[in-house]
Amino acid sequence: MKPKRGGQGSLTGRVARGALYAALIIGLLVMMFPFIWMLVSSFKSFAEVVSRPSQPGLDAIISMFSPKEWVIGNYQQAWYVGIIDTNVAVWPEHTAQIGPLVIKWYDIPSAVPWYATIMARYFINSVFVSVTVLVGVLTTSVLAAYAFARMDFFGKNMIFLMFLATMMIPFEVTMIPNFVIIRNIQFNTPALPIFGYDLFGEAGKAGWYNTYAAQIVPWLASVFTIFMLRQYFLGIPQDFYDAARIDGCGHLRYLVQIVLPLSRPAIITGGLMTFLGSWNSLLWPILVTGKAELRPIQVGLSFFLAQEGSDYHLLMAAATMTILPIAILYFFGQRYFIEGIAASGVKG
Amino acid sequence: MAHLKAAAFQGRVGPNPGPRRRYWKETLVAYVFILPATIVMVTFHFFPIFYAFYISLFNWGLIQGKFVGADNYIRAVTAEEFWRALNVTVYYVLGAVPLSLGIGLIVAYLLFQNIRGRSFFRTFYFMPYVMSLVAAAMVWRWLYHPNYGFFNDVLSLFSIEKWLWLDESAGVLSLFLGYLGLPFKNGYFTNGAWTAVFTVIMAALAVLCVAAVRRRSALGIVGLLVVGICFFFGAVDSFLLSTPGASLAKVPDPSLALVSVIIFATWQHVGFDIVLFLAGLTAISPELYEAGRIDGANEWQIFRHITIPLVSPITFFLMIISTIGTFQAFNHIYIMTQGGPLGATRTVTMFVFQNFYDFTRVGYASALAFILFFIILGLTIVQMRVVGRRVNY
Repeated sequence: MKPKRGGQGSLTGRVARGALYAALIIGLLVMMFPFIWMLVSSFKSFAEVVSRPSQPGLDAIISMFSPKEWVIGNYQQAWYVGIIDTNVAVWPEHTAQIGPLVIKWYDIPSAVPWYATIMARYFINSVFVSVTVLVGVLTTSVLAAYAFARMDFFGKNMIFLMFLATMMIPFEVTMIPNFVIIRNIQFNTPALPIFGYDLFGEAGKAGWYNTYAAQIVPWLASVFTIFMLRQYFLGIPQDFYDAARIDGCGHLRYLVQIVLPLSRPAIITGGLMTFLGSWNSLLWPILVTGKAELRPIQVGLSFFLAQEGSDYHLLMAAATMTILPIAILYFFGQRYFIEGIAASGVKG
Repeated sequence: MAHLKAAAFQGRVGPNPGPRRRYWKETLVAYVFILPATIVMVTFHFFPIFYAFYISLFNWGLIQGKFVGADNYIRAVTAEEFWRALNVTVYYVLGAVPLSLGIGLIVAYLLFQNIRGRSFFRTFYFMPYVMSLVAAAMVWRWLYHPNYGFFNDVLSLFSIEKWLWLDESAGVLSLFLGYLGLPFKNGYFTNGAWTAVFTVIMAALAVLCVAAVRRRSALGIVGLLVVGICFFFGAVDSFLLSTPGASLAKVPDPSLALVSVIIFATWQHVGFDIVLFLAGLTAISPELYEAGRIDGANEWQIFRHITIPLVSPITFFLMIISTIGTFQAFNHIYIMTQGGPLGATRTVTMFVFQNFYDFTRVGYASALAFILFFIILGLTIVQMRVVGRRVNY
């Protein structure tokens, strides 16, 4: 039987209900507080960030959350902060304009266009890597999940078990050999320049070290996504396939024209989770990138922290900018996030 | 699976192209479908497992060195730092996992009551789980800052002295008992009489717990686990670390820095537990609650005897997933403390990373990672056998 919407709870007394809402709202404030604090602090001036409340009281608390003046310029400064090496070209074509200098927040050179900063570069890298991984994972996963769900073939169970077994292995075990593999990979690939850097690195260099390929290729398959999509595909009635078959429809056409449109929720969930995982990843990009211009935003942020550790108002502005794309994505797709996770957990 | 068999069956009785030929034709098509995923999986996820083991047998720095056999493993298990890191990791897991599960279940139960705006609350509770760990850890690092942090600002409003939070390597118990004036430091009583009393208490507790376990009480298992862990790390201290004054009477004394990390990890992860528990609670048939109510059960009895047993599969699933995940935690520790102060938050994962990335001891780090893997595997098996049996499906 399907449970009624609205829950089956029984805390019904007025006082109990009041206490219940109070508890939930306090919980909400605790969960949201770090984000609120981040947002508020990102608009404070440096003086206000380092000033301490003098006497106890409500005023002190209110003043913590209401900056005397809202400094929108923090975002501009955070965007332009970043140590740009003499030999580092943020964007190759802008090397000449920027020249050898160290940009600090109090010294924003007007010659630098907004897209020529290191922050812009981090964002572009993250977007490029995450979107490529997203498209790649969905392609490989849809195909594999369909084969595992709908086709009967030699060695199917063994291969599927092998896929599942890799989920048991902690990342620490595979990251070391993967790093060695990445450093030693040698392919005669055609030159594919992306944002001024060759996608697969240059011949004779240390394999794929310091390339986009190293950040993308190992993550182009996801067992989690395959497993989730397979579960979903299994729920599509077999009759659909039989009918399509009679009309002379092959596997690929059936997959593209019938299965995919029917599986929209599962594909959106899988895509969101993949994008998120890629956008938020830190450890692997740290290992395989040595140049600032190839780092994604998370690594950039962690280096920003190491270099500008005390300018907390700028750090908070940078953190806000990092979180913003994910926050927007989350609020538009939260149904898919939450229900996808709940479903995968309850079934799995 | 049933319709797959049906499909195969239909294929075999189908007309012209013989069933066998058709099966192999489908196999060929299927291989084309799984080929892209398989290439990536084999190259970067399956083959590396064996390659990692191979690497761990060599003295491997920047390049492959000479074969050393099990040397890396022996060096790992005899290294003081490894045992300290394991100690930190175990405290971290024992702190973060139950805290997150407990709070998650309670909040989910509150949300499950007939309230307005449930999905509104759920959306915000879940939010920290999706947001960037790096950014969130950065914010918290600042909240914890001894001079400029929000938490110390609040303490100062109540005229309480500054805490060092993430910079505090002393244990929370040491801090607390020291504040009370008891002779206690770094997990040990520094005074013979207190040590003796504590040892007797622990022994009595162990006996009680064994008795409880024989009566199949869950509390007994938990108690025994705690006693066992105290004893284990006491033994490690006395035999391997030669800590001055070490005896078997060790009290778990995680540093304040680690507790701060645990608080962050709970905040970050609890939304995931809430969402899963809520899904599990919604799946419980309402008749059971009504039956309980008709029989005159009060709120607590309903929660204890209906809700908890019926969500136990989810609790079990979450426990295994969170234990594995917590053992591998890296990002927030890297941002907040880098394993410091004085190794107080250096978990095994952090230790692997430092050996690999900072010291380029590739073979050694690989051996450490394998040991970590076997610990996780062993723990998962133990959880499945001990807890799995108690789950109501």
